[in-house]
Amino acid sequence: MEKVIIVLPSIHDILAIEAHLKLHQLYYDLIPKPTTIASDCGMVVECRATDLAKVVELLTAQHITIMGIFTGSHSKGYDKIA
Amino acid sequence: MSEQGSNLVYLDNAATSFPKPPEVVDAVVKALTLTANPGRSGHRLSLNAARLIYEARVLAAQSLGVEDARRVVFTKSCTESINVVVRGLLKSGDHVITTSMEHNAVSRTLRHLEHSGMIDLTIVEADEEGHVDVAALVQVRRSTTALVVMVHGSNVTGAVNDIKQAAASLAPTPLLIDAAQTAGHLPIEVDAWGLSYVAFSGHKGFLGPAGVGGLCLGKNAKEPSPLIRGGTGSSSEHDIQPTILPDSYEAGTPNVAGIAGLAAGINALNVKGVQAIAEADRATADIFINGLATLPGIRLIGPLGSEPRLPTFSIIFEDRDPGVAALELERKFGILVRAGLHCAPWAHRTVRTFPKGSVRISFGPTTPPNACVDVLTALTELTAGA
Repeated sequence: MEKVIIVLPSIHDILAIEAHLKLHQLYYDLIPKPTTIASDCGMVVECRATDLAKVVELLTAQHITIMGIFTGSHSKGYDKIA
Repeated sequence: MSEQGSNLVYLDNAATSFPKPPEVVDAVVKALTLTANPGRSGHRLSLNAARLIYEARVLAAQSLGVEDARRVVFTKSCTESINVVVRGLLKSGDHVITTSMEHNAVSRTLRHLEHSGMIDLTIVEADEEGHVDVAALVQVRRSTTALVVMVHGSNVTGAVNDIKQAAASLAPTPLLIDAAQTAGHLPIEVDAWGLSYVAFSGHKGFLGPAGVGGLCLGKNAKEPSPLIRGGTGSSSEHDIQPTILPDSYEAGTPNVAGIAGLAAGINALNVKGVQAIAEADRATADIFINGLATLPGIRLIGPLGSEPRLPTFSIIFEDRDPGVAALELERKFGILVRAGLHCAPWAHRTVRTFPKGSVRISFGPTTPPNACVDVLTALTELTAGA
């Protein structure tokens, strides 16, 4: 299963979208922000690549800014796709 | 109510609500035992804390009619929230309007800026019950008026101002409402009423623990410059404060346990609903005002009519200093009230009780139903015994 991670502005935004992902029964995980993406604190949302369009739609509906979308893994590194 | 074996009647809810619901105590304990620093680390205890704060923010937003919970910022007190707006928004040469019923949270903050030469301040006099005439606020507005600061409900007389009308009449001038006394007691609709800023306390009507307050930013409100800057857990690679809400105003580790307690307090309130609480407050006021009317030697300061009001009453005795009367109420009857100026010298000047102040008797959402009769009985005995 190919996964993507989505970087959002704040933990509030992450938890706000979590509620909607649960509601729509979409797979997600909240994981520490990979340091290869940003030397930042906090977390990111991980979801299936196949669900990305739906997740982006939900984020847009909630007026949540997407800071970046990445593919890859901790071991192989991440590539920014949006 | 029992405290160290004594039977007490706590009627100082305008200072802080007591007793706190058991759910609030449980939530504080749970937060202290199951959470860590929110929004910083990526582990589960950090996430637990972040979830508590998120849920509290959503609840507070719903309670105060804020559509986007990001526009609710947690602070340590209503006073801090007022300072965020006043000190973060105003600039040199601004004109500010406020009222003669304000608490020191407002008056001292504004006076400081006035005395430093930064702002020009106009204080609109309220009537002797503590009501502010909105037309008078509009009348003194100038082209340089940058902010109007107004108390929603008086902590001295219980008088309630029509903030919906104030916002409509004063628009587009920004309006900062001090809702320390009214949040949890009366309906407040930040977005629907077009309020710019609403500062609230977490430990009074909302039943949370002390050390938590908040600020609601209206839909189109200009964002004040943050009062403090520092770590937020977001955009950590930048040495400039992030501008995103709510992080921009929440530098430093928040009071997770306090905020969790606030959420539990709001949940406890929601069982009844704020409208029902407002009606219960009004019913208490009717009983108390009617009872007081039969007591010679005691005068009620504040609204006597049937308009919305807080269950907060200032009384003065013909033959007793307020401090003496408060002491007698505690020592003889176990009734806890507050005497003096209630951090509101402007308000006491307005209602002609400065400098001695009054005895303030304030009921709250968790006050036992018999407390009103208890205090009236005590006042009857006190005045009869002289």
